[in-house]
Amino acid sequence: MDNQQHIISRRLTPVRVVAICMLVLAALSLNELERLAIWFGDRCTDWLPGAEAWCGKPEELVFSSNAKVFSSKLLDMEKSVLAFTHNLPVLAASKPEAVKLAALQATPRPQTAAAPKPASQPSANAQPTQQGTLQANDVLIVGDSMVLEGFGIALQRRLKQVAGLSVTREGKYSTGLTRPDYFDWPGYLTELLDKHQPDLLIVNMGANDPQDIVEEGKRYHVGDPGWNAIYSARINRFLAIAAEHGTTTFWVGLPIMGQDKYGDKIRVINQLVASACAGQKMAKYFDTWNVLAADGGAYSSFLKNAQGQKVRVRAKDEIHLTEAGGEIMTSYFLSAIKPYVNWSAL
Amino acid sequence: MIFTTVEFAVFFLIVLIFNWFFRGMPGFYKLFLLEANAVFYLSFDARFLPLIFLIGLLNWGFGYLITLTESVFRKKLLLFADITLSLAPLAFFKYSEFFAASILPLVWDGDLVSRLPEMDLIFPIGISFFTFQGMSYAIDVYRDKGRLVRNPVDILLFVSFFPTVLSGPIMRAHVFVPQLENPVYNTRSFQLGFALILSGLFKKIVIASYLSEHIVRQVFQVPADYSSLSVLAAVYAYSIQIFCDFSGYSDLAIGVALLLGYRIPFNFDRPYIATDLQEFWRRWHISLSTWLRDYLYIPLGGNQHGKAFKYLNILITMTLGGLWHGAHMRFLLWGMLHGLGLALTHAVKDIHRHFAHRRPQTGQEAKPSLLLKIVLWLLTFHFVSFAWVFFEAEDTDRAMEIFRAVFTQEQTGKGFELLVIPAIAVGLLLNFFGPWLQKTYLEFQRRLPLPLQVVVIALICIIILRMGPEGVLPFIYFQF
Repeated sequence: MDNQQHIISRRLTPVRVVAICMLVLAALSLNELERLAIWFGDRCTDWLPGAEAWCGKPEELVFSSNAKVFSSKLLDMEKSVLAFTHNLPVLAASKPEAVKLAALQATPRPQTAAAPKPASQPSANAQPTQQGTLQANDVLIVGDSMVLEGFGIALQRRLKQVAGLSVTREGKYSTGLTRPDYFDWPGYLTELLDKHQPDLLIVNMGANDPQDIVEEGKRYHVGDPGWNAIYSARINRFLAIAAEHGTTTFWVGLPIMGQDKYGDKIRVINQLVASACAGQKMAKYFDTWNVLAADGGAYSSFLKNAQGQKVRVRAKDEIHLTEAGGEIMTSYFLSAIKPYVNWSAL
Repeated sequence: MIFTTVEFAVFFLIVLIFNWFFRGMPGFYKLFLLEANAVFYLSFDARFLPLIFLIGLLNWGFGYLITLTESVFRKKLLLFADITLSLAPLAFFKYSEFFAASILPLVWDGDLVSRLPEMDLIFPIGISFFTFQGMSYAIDVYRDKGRLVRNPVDILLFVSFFPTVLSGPIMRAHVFVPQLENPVYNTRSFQLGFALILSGLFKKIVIASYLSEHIVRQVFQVPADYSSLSVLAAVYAYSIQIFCDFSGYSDLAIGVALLLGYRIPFNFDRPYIATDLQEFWRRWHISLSTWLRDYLYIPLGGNQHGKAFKYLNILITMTLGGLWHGAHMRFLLWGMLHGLGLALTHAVKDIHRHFAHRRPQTGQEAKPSLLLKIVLWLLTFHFVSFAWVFFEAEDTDRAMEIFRAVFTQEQTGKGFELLVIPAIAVGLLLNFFGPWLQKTYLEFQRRLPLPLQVVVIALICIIILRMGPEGVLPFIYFQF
């Protein structure tokens, strides 16, 4: 009888399944409370415009402090595991025999993409970042999905053709500067700069940034003075980190977008980045808004390539670039940076 | 609402509660489930929900009409109309641009691309899956009147069932529809459901994401940057990544369905233990390969018209199967390669059988030696892995870049992180010992008292989510 009771106590019924799921979800929510609070805040301002007063304050939520302690312990564990993995050796790397950089001749590469169109405002403050041209041998390309797909790939493949140049590309999908709770870009950038010690940092990101910023319990919308101030400060910090490492930053602006509402926000971001770069000695902004626009300056998903064939240059989301689009952006960008770098292959 | 998001967890919990609450009220229950499916699909794209229901109603309607007539000619005509109308949206949304931008320029100078309607932002997610599912019902009814489902709501539920609507497994109506009345309802299936969800999360978030982030993506994008050995490692890593990504997705879908009381057929059965391609396709994406066999290969004539036609039919089936994955030359080429490989496998087996008949009978069929098995396994695994290169690489030129790096062994460049090797090994072990691991875990879970089961499941979930990268990468098969 006892045994039967025992079995019944372990039997799963639909009600128990629901209970298990609820408890598991509750445990997960406690663990991720901070992120969830912001997620919930984002959603409820979408649903109820007047809800900002009560749903954007993660620090006021009950249990938050307990969850934070638990989360931080897990994060500490995670960091120590990550620190261990970072110290692991890299396998199968092999380098060509040492060569003298000066002796190398860059191999020119035929233009595969269409001739780049001039951007609307190419380099408003077109001054070389330093005296003469930049002696860049180590290049680091960073950003969000724009760098992990399309443009980043094309740029890395083209720079790979420049002899003696070491190019690394690192990035994180779905990240940006508006959500430090979700991804810590300054920390990641510092880590990357320490690791790779680049002379030149090429940045292309911001596509995920048209969203509210929640800071100290207040919520700011894109384009609000408060939002602009916080975002500018974050870009400045980003550029300052690079400058502190002695690295010059070339920030590639975002191109025209298919959806006007989204595109308007991207324009705001581009402007903020451009003015932040203008205020930093070791940074330079390259406007690319019109590079992928059709002849009339409007958005287009297809453009003609060098062979005169119409090719898809933008992904179906009308945001991301295909590799063909990335090549056109790359051709433009490389011609725009020519005065500032010492790469003879460009 | 991708399965690995908070949104989905909340949505699923609500559906789960109401699912078991309304299960006792048959009529109302179906409307509730239909509503849940609609909400799930609406979270991706509201515009195409009517399309799913249209495909469902179309196939239900033609299925019904087919049973009304005795004339074979009329039946065929109705089926033809059904298939044409079902495939039309798929052809339009998925293949028109490919045809205009990639195929037509090969034979015509004009510019059709500019004349096509603007196709951006309008792709009905899951269309390849729900179209195939809907069509299979009408064809089943054409073949066997007994498969008729009288209630159209059942077929609507069948094509729009939220755990499978995005990326399968591709179900059959005669397996799914009866379950609407009789839910699978026991401790074992619920425990299996939880185990599969954990397994899916681990495969996707830990293994597939790790390999994608730390080796596959970068190497496949810029192979010239890496040493030959790194490129080879990336080729193996992609084989494991796509297995963990897609079988992980299937595990999640099946697990979620089990908690709702539905049993969905398994989609993967340790595919990388196969010692020939025929076996591989019996183990990989089973719901698609059986679909292609039943609704394409057999209607083409299968093996009924001699050996040469059999090989040709295999080639056609696999090439079209490749193209089903996406409107791109690379999928076509991948399918063709598998078609050729499969036809060759059949030819070798046919020849072997032919000579085996001539030999004097020893009473027992000779079993292949262990060494031969290992050689065959290595051959199959490498064929599949190298074929994946065409599947994943941006274009043929990129695939060739990868092969040059691997086969010349002279390329110098970057290495890869040490953890890639254990990640590949764990993926392979999951392939080899998945069922054993599942059984062992279930035994362990079964012995625990209920509160402890909750703690174990929650802890494993948290650990898996913590081990994953920031932000979950999209599932590979979503683009299909």
